[in-house]
Amino acid sequence: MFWAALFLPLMVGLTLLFYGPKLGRKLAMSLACGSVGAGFVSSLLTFLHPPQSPDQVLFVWLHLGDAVVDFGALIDPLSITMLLTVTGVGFLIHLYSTGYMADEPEYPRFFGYLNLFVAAMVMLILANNFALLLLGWAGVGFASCMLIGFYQDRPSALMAARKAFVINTFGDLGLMAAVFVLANQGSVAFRDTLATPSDEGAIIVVLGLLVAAYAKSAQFPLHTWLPDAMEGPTPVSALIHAATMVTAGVYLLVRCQPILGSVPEMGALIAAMGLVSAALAATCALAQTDLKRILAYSTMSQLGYMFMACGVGAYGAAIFHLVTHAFFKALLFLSAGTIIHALHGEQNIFKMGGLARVKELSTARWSFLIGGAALAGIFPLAGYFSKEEILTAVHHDGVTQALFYGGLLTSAITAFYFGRAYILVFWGDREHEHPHAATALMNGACWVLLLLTVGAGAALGWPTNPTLEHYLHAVPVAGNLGEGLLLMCATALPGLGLAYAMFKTRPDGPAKGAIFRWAEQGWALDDVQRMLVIRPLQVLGRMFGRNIEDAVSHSMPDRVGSTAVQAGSELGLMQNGLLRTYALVLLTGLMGAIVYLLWQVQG
Amino acid sequence: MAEQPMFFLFLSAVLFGLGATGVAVRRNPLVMFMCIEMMLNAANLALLTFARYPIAEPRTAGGPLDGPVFVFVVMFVAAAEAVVGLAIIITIFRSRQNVDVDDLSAMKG
Repeated sequence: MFWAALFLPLMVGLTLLFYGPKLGRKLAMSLACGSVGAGFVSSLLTFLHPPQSPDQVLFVWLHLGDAVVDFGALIDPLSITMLLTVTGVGFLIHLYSTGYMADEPEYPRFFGYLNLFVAAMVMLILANNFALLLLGWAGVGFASCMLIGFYQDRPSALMAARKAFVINTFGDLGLMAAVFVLANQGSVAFRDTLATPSDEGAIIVVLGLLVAAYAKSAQFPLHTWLPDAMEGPTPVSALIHAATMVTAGVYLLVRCQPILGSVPEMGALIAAMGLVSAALAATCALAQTDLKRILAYSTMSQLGYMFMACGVGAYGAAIFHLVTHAFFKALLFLSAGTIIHALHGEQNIFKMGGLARVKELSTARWSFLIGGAALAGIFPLAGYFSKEEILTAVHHDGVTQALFYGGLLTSAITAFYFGRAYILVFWGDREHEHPHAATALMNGACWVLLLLTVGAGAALGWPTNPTLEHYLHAVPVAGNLGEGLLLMCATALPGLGLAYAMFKTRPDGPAKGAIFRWAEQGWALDDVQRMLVIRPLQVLGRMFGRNIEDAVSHSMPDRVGSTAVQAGSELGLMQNGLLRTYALVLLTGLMGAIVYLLWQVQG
Repeated sequence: MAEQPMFFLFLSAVLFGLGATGVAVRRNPLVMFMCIEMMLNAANLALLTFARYPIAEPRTAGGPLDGPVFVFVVMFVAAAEAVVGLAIIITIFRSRQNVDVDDLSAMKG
């Protein structure tokens, strides 16, 4: 049943890529949406009737040394939760894309890769072993690269795609290292490796998994691809941020919690790095002028919270925040997409303004407001419950309260930058000519996500009744509604209030000052990366290019070739074309052979 | 007579040498062909000599008919070879009006 969620999008994706233009726009789009929709239905059926045994093997895929790798699925509450989120949100984004990409001539390529993206993510989630997970993991990286670079005539898009791919491949290396260590110990299947994690080499495995998760989930210091990935079409950003890409890192950590648990000292590091990412991204988001980049940094920041939760062992809270974040971040991106679509591609928030008065954008406005309020953590929206749960878990963990207060401060900054973005986009009295109206499907997708954003948090994680965590068999965080509300009053409300006080007059341009420019550039971490990694590699590459490559891969093959040519032309002189010469040579050889044989017989 | 096999073998060697010299020095393919036949027949003569006057007694390998059978094989091969070779020579003559082998050097390196 659940295999449909993998194979339908996979087949449709390949079909669209190979035969897309022949299918026609309507059929191609219905196939793309239909396959992901069918995937969602099959996930829903799997949820309602989970298979008897969680380990479902389709066939034996590989023999890695002594380890046998199955092509199989692990169907447990965690994968079902992920499956529902990914296919559900993915389906809504597909529906939305039919409107957003309506004028795009290359729609088959777009929808083809969109489907492959979903298929790769589903494979990653379903996999019952690390090798298959790696296949989905790399597939997600590949599809995201193709989609970020979808506008092939924009050099910046191609650069962004390349950057995302390179950083993700670096993460893949980490995962591969972990897989190889595990394969050496005899098995890569989750049922063996997770049930009895071995202490031997555990530190390499954990570090490999962390590198992979950091690259895929855009965590400091491997996050720099995420803001640049905004070069892709907006539905792709929504998909990357909500459903199919960045959540993979969190899923990996949650899936591998027994392995992480075998190196307990790493927990504090993971939590601290999570806070660093969350705070760093939130401060960057403060200074952005591009609407999508604000959302990109906010994703990184929210993922930082999820990693914090993983670090303190609150895996249920991490998944809860992952799910609610998928809803409200998809909502934010889709509404941002509607706005950008309406303004014919304008992304600068200082050139927006006054959009509250545009009738066509009322759905987008409500979506953005509710989604952003959920992001800021306003009761009773989805983001509130999950974020308070993480903060409570960090508070109760008691290793250090610095994490907790850092998380609170970040939460306040989150509310502040959302308030700033909302005011700059929607307030003011700027006039806009001929806004491009959104289609019914686009608005419909927003409405569904809006309902989920409003309702899902309370339904899945009311502090006294954490449905999702019971379903996941996770240890629930003993939260308390009153404390949570107190936290909200201490963080989100002051943040929003400060944003109102500072931006109510709606300035016309970004704040001046070196520190703002610095923050806008993501604290110049791109430059740091360039200095520390790219430059040395370039120098090394140039050195190899000058000294070694020239000798090894240019001169040497050249010399082999020229020697052969010369030898040929000289040996060719022996063939003078005269039959009599050949006969003479033949006879001389025969004579020589006879003399030799006689000499042998005599001797 | 002990000298008898040596005589035949000597004749065989002379015939072979004549044939080989002819192949090496003559330019007419028909004559070269005849020389090849001569070399083959020199070999036949040697084979029959060894069949008639075995070197070691008792025979260490083969039966008394090995030599004659081999001679027949050589004759069949020579006949087949003559058919093919003459056909080639005739074809070359038709296309070039000249069969001097020194002029047929298009394959030189």
